Amino acid sequence: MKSELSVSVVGSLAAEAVSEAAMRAVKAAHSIEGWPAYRDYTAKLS
Amino acid sequence: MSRVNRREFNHAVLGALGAGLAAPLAARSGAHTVAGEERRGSITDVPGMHVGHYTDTRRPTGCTAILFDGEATAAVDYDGSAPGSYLGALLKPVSPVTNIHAMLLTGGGLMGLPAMAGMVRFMEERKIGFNWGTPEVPIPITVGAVIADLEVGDDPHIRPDAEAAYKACLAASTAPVDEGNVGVGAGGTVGKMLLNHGYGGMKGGLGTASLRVGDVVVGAMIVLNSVGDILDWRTAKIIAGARRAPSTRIIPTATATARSRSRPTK
Repeated sequence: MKSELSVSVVGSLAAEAVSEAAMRAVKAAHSIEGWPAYRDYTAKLS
Repeated sequence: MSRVNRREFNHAVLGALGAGLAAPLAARSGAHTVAGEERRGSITDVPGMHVGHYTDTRRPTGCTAILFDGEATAAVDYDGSAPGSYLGALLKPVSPVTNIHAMLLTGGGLMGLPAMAGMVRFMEERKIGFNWGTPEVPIPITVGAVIADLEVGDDPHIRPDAEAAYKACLAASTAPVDEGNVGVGAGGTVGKMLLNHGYGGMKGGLGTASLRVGDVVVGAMIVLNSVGDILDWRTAKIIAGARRAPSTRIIPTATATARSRSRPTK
């Protein structure tokens, strides 16, 4: 099955998906010894 | 899986880091629309994608296996100067091999490359691969890449091995992918450019997302293990990166680099 969607559009979507995945990686991470995590910062702010 | 050719695929992923695959979709409820505010989703929303983690309990490290229903078109883009990869040359545009059967992302740095043997064993046991003149032994095209995480935790001798990769393959499923300190993301860290100049980094990890436009689903999965900062792409604000240890205040790596020029290396 071949989509009508331009491959350039798919590329743009891929860039957005990767960007979103990067943010989710940061926000899902937990701190380990010597390496604080994003959620430690947000917890202190709230 | 339906697929595009390598040239089209290269164009599609140009500028995007990590693994991204697109496939026309008949109907699947797990993916999400661009128009909607909700932008969750998982790379396993792409039909035919299976992902499994093995997370080591002894040290923050692990590996993540990506398997496919059948084969998948694959390409590679090396932006770093010292990539640690397995059969990455097969993914160059001049290679006659355009499709792969599995992919492994693993911790352990270059010392983690032997983990690939576990994925090869998993595929061979299931007779998955191409017939390259030995029909009784199909050749699985398995590619892989490593992240350098030996500096995380106490014992750098602990790193993913073949057994770990095999277990990651066994765990592979189409369920939404776990994120954060799991699999290859267990040892991922960011903001490490100036560790020798009194700056600390922050925890990275593994993340995934998917988008749908019409009948096309685009999925991405990434492991964050960078020397630089991670920005919120909507606000351009740094959400993880370098900090002045032991403080928790994030300092842009560019700023820290400029400051570090006047300081001696410790």
